[in-house]
Amino acid sequence: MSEELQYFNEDAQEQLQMMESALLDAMDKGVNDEYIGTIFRAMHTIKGVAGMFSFDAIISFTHIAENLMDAVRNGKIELDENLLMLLLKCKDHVSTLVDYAVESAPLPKNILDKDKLLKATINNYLQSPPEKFVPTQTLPIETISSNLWHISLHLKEYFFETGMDLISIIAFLKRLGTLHSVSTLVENLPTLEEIDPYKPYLGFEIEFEGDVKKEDIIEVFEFVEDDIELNVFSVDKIQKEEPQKEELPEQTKPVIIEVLQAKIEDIQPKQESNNKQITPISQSLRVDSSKIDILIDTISEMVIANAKVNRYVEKYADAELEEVAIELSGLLEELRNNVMNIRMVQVGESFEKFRRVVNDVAHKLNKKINFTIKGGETELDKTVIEKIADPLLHMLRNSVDHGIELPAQRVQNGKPEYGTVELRAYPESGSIVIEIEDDGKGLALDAIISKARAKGIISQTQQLSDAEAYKLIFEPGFSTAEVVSDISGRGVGMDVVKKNIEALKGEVALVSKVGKGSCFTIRLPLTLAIIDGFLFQVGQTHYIIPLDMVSEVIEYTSEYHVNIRESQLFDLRGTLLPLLDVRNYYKELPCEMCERQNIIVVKYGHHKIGLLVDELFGEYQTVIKPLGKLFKNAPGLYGASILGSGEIALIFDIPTLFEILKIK
Amino acid sequence: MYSQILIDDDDEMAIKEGPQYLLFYLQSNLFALRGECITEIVELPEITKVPWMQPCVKGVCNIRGTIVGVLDISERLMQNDFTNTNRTSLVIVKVAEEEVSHKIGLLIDEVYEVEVFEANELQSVPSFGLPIDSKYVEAMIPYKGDFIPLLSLKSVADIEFLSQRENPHAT
Repeated sequence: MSEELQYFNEDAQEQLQMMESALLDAMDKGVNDEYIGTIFRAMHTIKGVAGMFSFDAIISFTHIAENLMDAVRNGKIELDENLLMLLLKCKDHVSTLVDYAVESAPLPKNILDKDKLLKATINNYLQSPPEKFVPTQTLPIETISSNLWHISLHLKEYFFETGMDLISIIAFLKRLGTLHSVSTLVENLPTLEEIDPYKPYLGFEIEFEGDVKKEDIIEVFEFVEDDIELNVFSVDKIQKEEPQKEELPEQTKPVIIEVLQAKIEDIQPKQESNNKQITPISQSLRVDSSKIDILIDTISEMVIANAKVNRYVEKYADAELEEVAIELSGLLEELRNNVMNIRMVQVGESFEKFRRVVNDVAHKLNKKINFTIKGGETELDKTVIEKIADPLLHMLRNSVDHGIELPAQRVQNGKPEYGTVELRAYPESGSIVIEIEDDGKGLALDAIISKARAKGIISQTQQLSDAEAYKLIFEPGFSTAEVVSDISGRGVGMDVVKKNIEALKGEVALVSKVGKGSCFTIRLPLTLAIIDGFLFQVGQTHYIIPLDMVSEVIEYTSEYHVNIRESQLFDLRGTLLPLLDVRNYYKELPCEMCERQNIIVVKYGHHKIGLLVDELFGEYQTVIKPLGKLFKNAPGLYGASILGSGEIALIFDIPTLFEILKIK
Repeated sequence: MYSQILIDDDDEMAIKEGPQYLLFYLQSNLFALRGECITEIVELPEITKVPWMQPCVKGVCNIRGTIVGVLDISERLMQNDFTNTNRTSLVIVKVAEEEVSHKIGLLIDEVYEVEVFEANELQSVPSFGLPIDSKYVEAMIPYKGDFIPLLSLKSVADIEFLSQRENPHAT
């Protein structure tokens, strides 16, 4: 067996082993995306590698299996027990095919029959017959829209010693998409006297178009990756990053070696029509988020520098200078807002994807559900949204599966036939709150407690408060469903959900009422979130409170005074409310500039209090920055924000402040 | 990182190799800090007071868009409030706590010098007799016929202690 075949064999067997483990785990523990991904990748990888060796039997079979897994992955086909069994058989069959292929032995009839049978079964699953896999088939134009790639490869000196055939690799690349051109780089070719026939000297520049990822292209070259220098660029990217272009072979005059060209033409019919239909430039660009952090810090510095410039403008009173300075300030403001917005994404788009899942699950369980999304415009850091998606999905499945009753039962209980599941998001005092509420059967506290006792999570005698009892469902190994279904409820979920949320420095809580429904509340901090704040001054210090907590703002005139000595109250049109003198409370020095005092009426939950403050500045786009560990015990302060002048404003944490002031 | 604290004595640096130390004045006494924990030294920025903190925690300031807590080490070590002169500087140091490092700014009266000392030059701290509590001193450094206390950042900038609230009823 040649060395490459050996690699192929080992790789294929390894992939198959992973596929088998995933299948068995899926049977034991329930299907999840990870398992599906593993199974899909196994088939995909084997197909890819087999393609390099032209093992057609393996290619055609794995292609169909891959289609099947793709359909599973996209949720078109459900991975049930039967399908898992079928896939196990497929795995065994591929293993057999690999054995025969490695031995270069022809397939005996019984294997061929099995092959046909399995393919037919898979096709049944796929319902509509799958596209036939033809090696020379090109992908339809629509799917390759803007996926132009430039592949540059240089053969290393010892390439010929590896015995690898580059033509077959390029031929395989052809199956992933379209080769627009392959040009040979000969600038390293020495003169005839000096040439060493054992060395390649050549490089190739390939223009390739295909609906693939960069990794897919690199994977094609996997077998020779150590023997060549490979660079894969997305052409879109090159166009955007003009300055880098000099690295690309403008100056190297591509000369086409006729032999190679002939070979390529063998495998590639002319594709002139394609060239015209390439739609240019994709709209998004992946950027490391730390780069944006640096950008934001730099802009903050610029804002401060700009404030200094403005001071000089005032000092010198030069009209032209002033004009430029105003323009600069405006641009800077715009730049700042735009950069801040890069990281922030509305949650709506991500939430919309859940609609499908909820519907599918409901349909499967014969439940009728109205799924509503509220607060989709709430903005959250993109990475946080990505990381919160899985836990949310799990909780939604839970709500549908365990929460909502069957329609008949609902009607019997005097509830509407359609259950309601609501997913909502809203910012609350420096946090983003995401809630999942259903009007299902709710969780009985005593059921939770007795279950926890039975599972040994708590001792028989341990007494718990309601809140503590609800927390039990987030314990590892806790599942309240009496019948385990394949949608949720193997007790592997809620503890993972909790862990994921805590990893984001958030918290999750549950409130439930038997017969009425349950509500999960996830509270996520937003270190880099922008809130609409209300800026004001007390003494020497600027403060901000979230704008949506401001109920109204009034000037503290005599009509609001309460004549009870040493009282801290004020009279808001006949309602007596507590008044917090912030200057006194925070021991601020008096504000010299300020002439009158104002009251900000703050509401939180069902409570209202007044804050007695000095100067009001109004609405302010606030970037929340952490105060740091040093100030972890600072009372009622959540964070700070840097103002345009470079000054710092402290952000009130209203819920904590209410807590401290014991307004309950 | 060190380049920010190299001042103007490249020649001397070249002769002596070893860890760098920042020497600075505090209430007209010289003190030293390990260079490796210093990220930068800046002019005294505007400080925003944070209410209800220990008297030595002066507030927060804006260092390149990061909010950094300001610690008055004169107050912390000698219970003497700092005096703002045009030489007053803020030394930004990294303090590790629970594997996360935090930046804290230390107020000093004046930067004196950056020097290199080898580990064997450091001497142990006398158990009493220093004008400041010896728990804040890590070692004594002999320098030009005198001794400079090397401050222990860990105990000077003890976040657990510093983050405690001032007793609101005390004053």
